[in-house]
Amino acid sequence: MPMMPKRVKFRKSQRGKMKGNATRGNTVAFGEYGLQTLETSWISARQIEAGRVAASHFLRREGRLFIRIFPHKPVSGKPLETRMGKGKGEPEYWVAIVKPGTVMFEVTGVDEATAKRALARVAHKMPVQTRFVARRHAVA
Amino acid sequence: MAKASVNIAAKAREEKGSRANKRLRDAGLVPGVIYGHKEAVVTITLPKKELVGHLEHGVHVFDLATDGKTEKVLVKEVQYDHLGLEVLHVDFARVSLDEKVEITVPLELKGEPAGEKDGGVLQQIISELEVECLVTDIPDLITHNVSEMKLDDVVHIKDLKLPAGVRALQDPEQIVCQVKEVKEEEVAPVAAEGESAEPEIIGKKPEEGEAAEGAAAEEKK
Repeated sequence: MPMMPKRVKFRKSQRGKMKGNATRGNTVAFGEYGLQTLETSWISARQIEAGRVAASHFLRREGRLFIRIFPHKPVSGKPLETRMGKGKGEPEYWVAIVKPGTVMFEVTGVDEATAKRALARVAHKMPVQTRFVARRHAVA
Repeated sequence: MAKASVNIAAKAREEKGSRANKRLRDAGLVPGVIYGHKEAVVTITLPKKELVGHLEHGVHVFDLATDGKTEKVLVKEVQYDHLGLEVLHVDFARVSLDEKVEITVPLELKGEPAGEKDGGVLQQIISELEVECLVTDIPDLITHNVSEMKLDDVVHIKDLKLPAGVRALQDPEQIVCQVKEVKEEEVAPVAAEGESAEPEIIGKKPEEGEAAEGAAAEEKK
């Protein structure tokens, strides 16, 4: 089942603006390799789940996958053939907002070639351009 | 052991501010700053290609030649852009060779754990270690052999063999890596068609039907 929050303060939210680049969550933190987005977008809970399934089927029981994004934002929609007005539609699905630089998925416990192939499968399920990144060790 | 130090020529930087720094970056330079030892803070620029090459090779200590004066400095912080591709700014702290410094060193695990044959997966919790050592003793890498680890074995920081003169600063009981069995993922129940599961609203009182259900559930308990 796709991810969604357990408790929320408000059922519906406004669309909002997605400006700028990722200033947090833009480094590989938990795994050794990651999938970083190069675009700003909403990633739906279904797309995240599709990515997870694609990677875990490829990795089978090898290694470990981390999902670094969570769909906190509800998106509402109006039913088909409904006239405009009569208030905001009902929540339909949940999305995560990603900005250029956000590391969405991470992999550990596998070699680089396997991680690349696993994350390439995830990238196919994403609505954004992505790039494969490796962990960078701090010099300082 | 890391190279003692690397020579690099820097120029004093007069212009400050984001626009001036952007112009420098466009010209293939990296803005930086030198501080420490209760001396004046000096803003500098460095050639990007040369600096990045050294940083990628894990160089920690530089001999910075600025306007005829050479200073021994330690890399304190490196700022990257949002994609982690470009170096935006570097902080250097003045050091002397007989000084102890706190530094982060990469931690690498070597070998294949014996527990992997029994269905375990090696999980590395820490990949960098904060250590204290002399400037001349900074290790490039700390390696630990995990080939003898069995299923459910755990390695703590206190179990690591550190080079002479190097002391770990983190909690000795902190877990570095463990071999754990991978459990099958539980498949969550799928919501029925048309019935979209909704999260609980914080601060909202349950409606009559929900309240009755809740009371019935409590009675059962």
